[in-house]
Amino acid sequence: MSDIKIKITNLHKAFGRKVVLDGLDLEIKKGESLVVIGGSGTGKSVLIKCIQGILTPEQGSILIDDEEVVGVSEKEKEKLHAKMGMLFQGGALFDSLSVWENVAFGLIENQKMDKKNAKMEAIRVLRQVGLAPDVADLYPSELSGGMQKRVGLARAIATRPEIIFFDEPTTGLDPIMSDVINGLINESVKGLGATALTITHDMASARKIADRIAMLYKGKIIWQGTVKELDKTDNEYVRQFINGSSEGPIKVEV
Amino acid sequence: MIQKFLRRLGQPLVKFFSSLGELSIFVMRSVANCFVPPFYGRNLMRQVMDIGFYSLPVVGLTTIFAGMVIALQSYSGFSRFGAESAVASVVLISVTRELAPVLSALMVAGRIGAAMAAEIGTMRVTEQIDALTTLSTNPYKYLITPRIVAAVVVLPLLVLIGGVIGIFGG
Ligand SMILES: Nc1ncnc2c1ncn2[C@@H]1O[C@H](COP(=O)(O)OP(=O)(O)OP(=O)(O)O)[C@@H](O)[C@H]1O
Ligand SMILES: [Mg+2]
Repeated sequence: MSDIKIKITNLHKAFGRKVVLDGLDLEIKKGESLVVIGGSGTGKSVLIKCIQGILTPEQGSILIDDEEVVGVSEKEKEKLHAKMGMLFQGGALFDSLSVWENVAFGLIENQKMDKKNAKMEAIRVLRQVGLAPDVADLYPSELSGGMQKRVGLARAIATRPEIIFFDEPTTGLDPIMSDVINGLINESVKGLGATALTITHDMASARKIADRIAMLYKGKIIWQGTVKELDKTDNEYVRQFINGSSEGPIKVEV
Repeated sequence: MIQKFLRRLGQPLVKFFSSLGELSIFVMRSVANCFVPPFYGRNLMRQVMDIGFYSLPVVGLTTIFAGMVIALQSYSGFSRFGAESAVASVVLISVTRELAPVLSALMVAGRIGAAMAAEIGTMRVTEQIDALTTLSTNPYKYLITPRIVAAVVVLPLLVLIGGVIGIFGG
């Protein structure tokens, strides 16, 4: 087996006439933490959803562990999802379930853990993300936005998946909590030996968690490299993005 | 000109048939999933409570009034022919055969249908359904099947209770 965990070639995805991904190529190595940066609405979330099979691309191939995942059956997808964890941009917590039931969902439904152990495990993971055990019995609607984010993170890592997707893990958190989350992402990636794909706008966070950074622009990966290379690059698109300047080759239509 | 007209005619038609197709696929998948494990007992119980137990007040209220009204109206009519003794059987037959099933079904459809659409719609936009998928749980089995099974099981019971209450009202 090769050491490439996810290999995407020539991925195309459009919604009606709107082309979002336009021939995207990307490789992620086993145990690597890749960060994807890019402007709002460039299709970063869509990319993750294509990899997970929630959205079906029109064209292109996605290999996970050398196996094609585009167009496989529901059953295969279920198996595939068993080794993935995902933190959604908006949290996507089940609001009819309490916090610990959310975190333990994968443990109870898939790994068939019994309730008592699952709750203990959930509380342990919650503590890892900096939440007190008494939060466990609250409902998602009773939490602040940042707390919801951390519960989402706890749910993503609770099943100890091989591949974890983080969609903007630090957006909406204070700088200190962001750093805790960054540390936690590093820990779960290194600790579990997991492969991580993170989307973020937060350059501080990207620098901290990335082994490699890739920039998405107009449906393609226009640049990729390590954090060191990021600071030295003379790619104008990347420079504009990390400097957060409105002047440069990237034009924002207002 | 003609092309434009035909296009205007064709588009809704294609849309209509594609939504018809989507609906039948949806129904087929939902029904098929009723017989394939895993089953989510907890969700089923919850729906039974929601659809059954919490519908009792409305169903009871409508049938009791229907029973009363039929008794009153038929009495005022029948008394002219001196056929007051027929009132009881008229109430019995019309409530059990017609009114209880129709009223219970309408009440449940109105009350539950809207609530379900709102709930599942919210889950859709807040990505909770995608989240279910990524946790290797089939959203059909987790969300739709329990609702269908609960409705199928509970409606006859509601009709029965509605009938009893209606007759009592009469
Ligand atoms: N289900 C969908 N149906 C139609 N259009 C969609 C859908 N999902 C995403 N899009 C479109 O695809 C584009 C990319 O969306 P996406 O959510 O991937 O952006 P993003 O890069 O994650 O942005 P952000 O950083 O703001 O989260 C948007 O223009 C959006 O309108
Ligand atoms: Mg996004």
